[in-house]
Amino acid sequence: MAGIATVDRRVFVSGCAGLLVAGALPALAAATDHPEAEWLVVDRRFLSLLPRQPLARRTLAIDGDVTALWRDTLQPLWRERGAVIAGITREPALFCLEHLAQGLRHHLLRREALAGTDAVRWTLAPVGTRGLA
Amino acid sequence: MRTPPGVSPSDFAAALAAFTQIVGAEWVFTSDEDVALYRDAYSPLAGQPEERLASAAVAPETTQQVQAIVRVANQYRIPIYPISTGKNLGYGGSAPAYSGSVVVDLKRMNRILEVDEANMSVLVEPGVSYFDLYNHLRKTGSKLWIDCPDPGWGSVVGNAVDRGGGYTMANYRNHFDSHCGMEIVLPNGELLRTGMGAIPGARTWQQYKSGCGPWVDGIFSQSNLGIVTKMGFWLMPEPEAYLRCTVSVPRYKDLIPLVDILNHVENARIVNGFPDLASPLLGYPPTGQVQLFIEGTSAYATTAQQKALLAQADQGYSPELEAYALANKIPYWELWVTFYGPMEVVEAQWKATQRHFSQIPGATYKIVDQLKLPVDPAKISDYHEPEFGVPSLRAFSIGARTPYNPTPSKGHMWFSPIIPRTGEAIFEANRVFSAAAKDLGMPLFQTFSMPACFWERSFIFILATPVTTDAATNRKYLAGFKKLIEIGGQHGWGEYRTAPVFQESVMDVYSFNNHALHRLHETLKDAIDPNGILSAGRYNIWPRHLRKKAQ
Repeated sequence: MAGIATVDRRVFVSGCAGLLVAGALPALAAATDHPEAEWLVVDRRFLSLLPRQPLARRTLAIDGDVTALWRDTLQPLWRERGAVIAGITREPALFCLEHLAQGLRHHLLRREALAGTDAVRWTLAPVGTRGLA
Repeated sequence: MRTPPGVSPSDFAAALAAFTQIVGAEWVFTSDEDVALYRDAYSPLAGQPEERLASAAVAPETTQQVQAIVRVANQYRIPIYPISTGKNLGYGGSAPAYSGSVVVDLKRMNRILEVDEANMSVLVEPGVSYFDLYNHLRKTGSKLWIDCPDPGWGSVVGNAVDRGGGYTMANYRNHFDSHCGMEIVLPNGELLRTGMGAIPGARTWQQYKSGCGPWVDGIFSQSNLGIVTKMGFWLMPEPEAYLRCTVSVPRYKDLIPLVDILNHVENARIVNGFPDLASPLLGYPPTGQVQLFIEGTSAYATTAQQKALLAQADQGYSPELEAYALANKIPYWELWVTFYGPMEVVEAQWKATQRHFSQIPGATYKIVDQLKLPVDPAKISDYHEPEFGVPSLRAFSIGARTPYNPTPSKGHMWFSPIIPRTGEAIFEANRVFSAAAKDLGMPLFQTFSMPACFWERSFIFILATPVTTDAATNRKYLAGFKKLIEIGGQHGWGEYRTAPVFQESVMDVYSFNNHALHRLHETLKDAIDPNGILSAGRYNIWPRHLRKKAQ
């Protein structure tokens, strides 16, 4: 997994799975994910929908496969401590993450299909985290 | 909070308090939110009164804690149901076979206790996942490969005791067969080590499997006679090269000699990797390549004329379809063979393999991949990762909406009968199961289906029956699934593994001599677990006090 300070859309979209991106995401996500979310996971198929703007939150782009995301980031993080993660992916990626999360006592707090796409936006959080109002 | 059936609320409260004393309050789970994590995500009975649900969960960190939990369960007659990581979706997940059981979640027992590079073995606890073991081996610079299922998110121990399989060399693919030595907490809390582990101080626990006297390891797989707390495995030394090739044959009946010769070359260890059957003509991809087909990076071309002929074919055959295949040089069958070893050796093995298959007129050969190992990690996703001992989660995109899968399901139940390893058996099983599935309205065997070659001496079909969001459809599929199990049994075919909801039906098929095998299972259960606390009902082995009720 590569750490990149800034990145343009072409690199962003064509990067490898698990590409770490600081900056550039979304009014859309910010409006919907959990306020405590430390990471935003985005399937790069949906990046073109999103406006570019600075974002403090760390973002991970995936190509649909969550293997590297799980192996390199989420499993070590969740083993160490609870953390809220938000995302915009397709269903299979969410399904996979949801079940991996359960093994480390996290669960799906929110799930919402994005109209007109096959994307879902979601929040995974430690068990006991309160849901959104 | 649910209370286990037959247990008074006061006894349950006392047991939970005792569990808390053993593991700490943080690791006893009783809230609905916590216990819901142990539901079977693929349950066809989700939300129905018959869904099998846990009452609570307890997560020990040590073998001593497991022993103490078992003793408390005996004291209060609490049904308990151990899981390793509970990731065997399609075969039951983490939900108990007996509703109301307390799940004993072993995920915290995730220590890799020993890696013996010279002996090429490991000793692990049940919470160690394939990812954990893979990461550990890579971090430490080990030259050993794991063999993992696909997806590789589960427990090394859990998959082995459930008798799962993988994708590398034959002697590592069978995960139970590749184990060497177990440590087990018996239902009375006593600790047992098998094989050479029964000798105090022996340094051969992971070197010689059986020790001396009756070899009992098998009774702790797919069973409810003990909780495995340590297990040794033999690992594959990293090979120098990987060679993958195809053998294609032109005619329908060629499947028979294709399989016969495969059986010889594989069991003579001329072919030592995962063999895979496919059909370019029928558009049926090889098991290990399904992902690449779905992602569109690989495909069999199918013309409109071919599709029309396929629609008219019976069991994947018609004289016209075969004539079309011959005229257009489209192989009827394609066997994918893989080789691991030094480059000069795998090239020689491929040469010998071609010589054997040349008995089939018109057989053709192709090298697909020839690689020096290890593969560049940046390029591993070009291949089917498990064939390189790399765990992956890509299989989950099989569930995505694609041209191959226009209506993704909510989950699936694996229908996985073992059949003889012959071409004739493939034809017969397709004939029998497709007729039955059609009668039952089951979405299986709608096209000619190919078995997988995980085991060297048998075939296995692994076909997904969808779980839907409609309860009535799920009930119909449940009933149909059970009928297919029964029909398979009438032909001598039985499942290799199944979810709790089907375990009674499956074990009923193993009925030789008035269910002598089942009666022995019950005799063992009564002797080893007289209070019936452990995994009641797993593989239809019920403790005495629940037998009449269950049946």
